[in-house]
Amino acid sequence: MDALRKLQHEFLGYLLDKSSVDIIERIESTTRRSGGQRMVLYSNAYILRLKEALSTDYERLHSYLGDELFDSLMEHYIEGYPSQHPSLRYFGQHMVEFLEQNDPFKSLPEVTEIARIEQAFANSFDAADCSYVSLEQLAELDHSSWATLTLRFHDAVQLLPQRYNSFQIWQALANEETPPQKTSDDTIWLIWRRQDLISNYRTLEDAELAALTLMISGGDFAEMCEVLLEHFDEQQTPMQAVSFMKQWIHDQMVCELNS
Amino acid sequence: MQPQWISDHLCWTGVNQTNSHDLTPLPYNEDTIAYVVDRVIQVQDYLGQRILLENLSSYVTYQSSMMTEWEFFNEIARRADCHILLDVNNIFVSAHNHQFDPIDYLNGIDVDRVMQFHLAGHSYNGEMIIDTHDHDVCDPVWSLYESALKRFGAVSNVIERDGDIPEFRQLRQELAIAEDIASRTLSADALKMNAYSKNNEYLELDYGRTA
Ligand SMILES: [Fe+2]
Repeated sequence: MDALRKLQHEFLGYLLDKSSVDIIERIESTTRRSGGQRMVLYSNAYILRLKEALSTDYERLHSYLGDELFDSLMEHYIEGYPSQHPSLRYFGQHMVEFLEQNDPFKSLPEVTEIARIEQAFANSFDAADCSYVSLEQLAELDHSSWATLTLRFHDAVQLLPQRYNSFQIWQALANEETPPQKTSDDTIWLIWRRQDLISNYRTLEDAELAALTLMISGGDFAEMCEVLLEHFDEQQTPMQAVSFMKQWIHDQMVCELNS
Repeated sequence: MQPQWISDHLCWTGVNQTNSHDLTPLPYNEDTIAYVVDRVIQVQDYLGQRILLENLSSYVTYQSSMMTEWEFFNEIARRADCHILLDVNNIFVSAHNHQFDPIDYLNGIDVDRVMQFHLAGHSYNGEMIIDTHDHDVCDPVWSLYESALKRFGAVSNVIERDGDIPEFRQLRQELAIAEDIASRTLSADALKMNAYSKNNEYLELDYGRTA
C-alpha cells in the first residue's frame, strides 16, 4: 500500500507545513476550485480546529495574554507539537513545557503556573469516577489495623505548588475581573473533584501538606503520625492525623482504605 | 456492553502517529478497496458483529481515484460484508463540491446494507459547501432524505448538530419534519419496523468467521 502511504504523508505534510506542496499535484482541479484551493480548505480547517481545542483548554491563559499574544502562542504551539494522540483532549498537554522553553513566556513564570492550573482542572474533570470511602467505613475499621492503614486517593486529587499569586490571577480571570499584579507567593494548592462533578480547590498548610504528600505516595497511618510529630506534640499528633484523614474522606478525595 | 451498531467513517485521519483530527478521503481505487476490506474484516472478526461504515463530506478528489465514491463505498461494503451508515447531508455536500448527482449516489448503494441515516446542516464557503453541523437541515437535504427513504425504506435516522445548538423545542421541530417526511413517504407498515435493522440483533446474527 505504498501509494496510499505516500499520499497520506504528502497530505499530512501539507497540513503541518504549507510549503510541502507535493500533494497539490495529486488533486483534481475543477472549474469550481483548483486543487490548491481545495487543499487550503483542509489546512485552514486543521489550524482552526487545533486553535479551538487550545482556546477551550486554556481560556484563562488566553484572557491573561490577550488575543494577539495568545494567537501567536497557538500558532507556534501547533507548529511545534503536532497532535500525537487520537483524542484532541491531549493536544494541549505540552503547553507548560512549551511556555517554559519559549520567549517571551519563559521569563513570565506566572504564565506557566496559570497553564498548570488549567491543566489540573481539566485532569480533575477527566479523572475516572470512583466510589468514595465514607466516614462510616473508617469508623468500622478494626483498631489493630490503623497503624498500617493506607489510602488510595481519587485521580482528581492534585497538589499544585505555586511560587506566585497565579491562583489569585486565575480566580480573577475566571470571574472576569482585572487580575492582580504578579507577586511572589509560595503556596500549595489542592485540587479535587466531588461526586457532584464540581472541582474544588483550597490552600494547604505545612502540616497537612506533609501528611497528604506522604499518604498520596502510599505511606501508612503510622508514618503519617511520625511526619506530623514535626508539627504537633505527641498528644496532639494522632488526633490531628485522624482529623486530616476524616477531612479528606468527608471531602470525597479517598477511594479506598487498605490495611 | 453489546451495542446494536458500531460505526466509523470510511476515511483516514492520520499517519505515523500524527493526527489531523479531520476526516480525510481515501483514493477510490482497487488497491484502497483491498486494503480497507482487509481491515474491516479484522475489526468485525474481533467484535463478532458487522460494523457500519459512514460516508463523509469531502473537498478534494485524488487523481489516483478510478471510480465514483459510491462505487468504492458499495464495493467495500459488499466484500467486507459490512453495513452502511448513509450520511445524507454528506452526500449532498460532496455532490455539490464534486459536481455529481446525489441521486446517482443513492442508486449506487445496495438497499439491504443501509442501517442508519444521518442528517445535518452545513455552511457555504464561497462556492464550496463545508460540513459544519451548525445549521438546521436545509430543504435540498430534506428532499434528498425523502429520496433516500423511497429507496431504502424506514431506516433509523440521526440529526447531527455540533454547533450553534438551538433550544430543545426547535431541535424537536426538526425531528418533527423528519417524521412528517417519513410518514408522507412510507406506508404505515413500512414505518413500523426497519426490517433490516432487526437483523442486526446480535443473537440472530450469523456473522462469525473463523481465522
Ligand atoms: Fe454523519
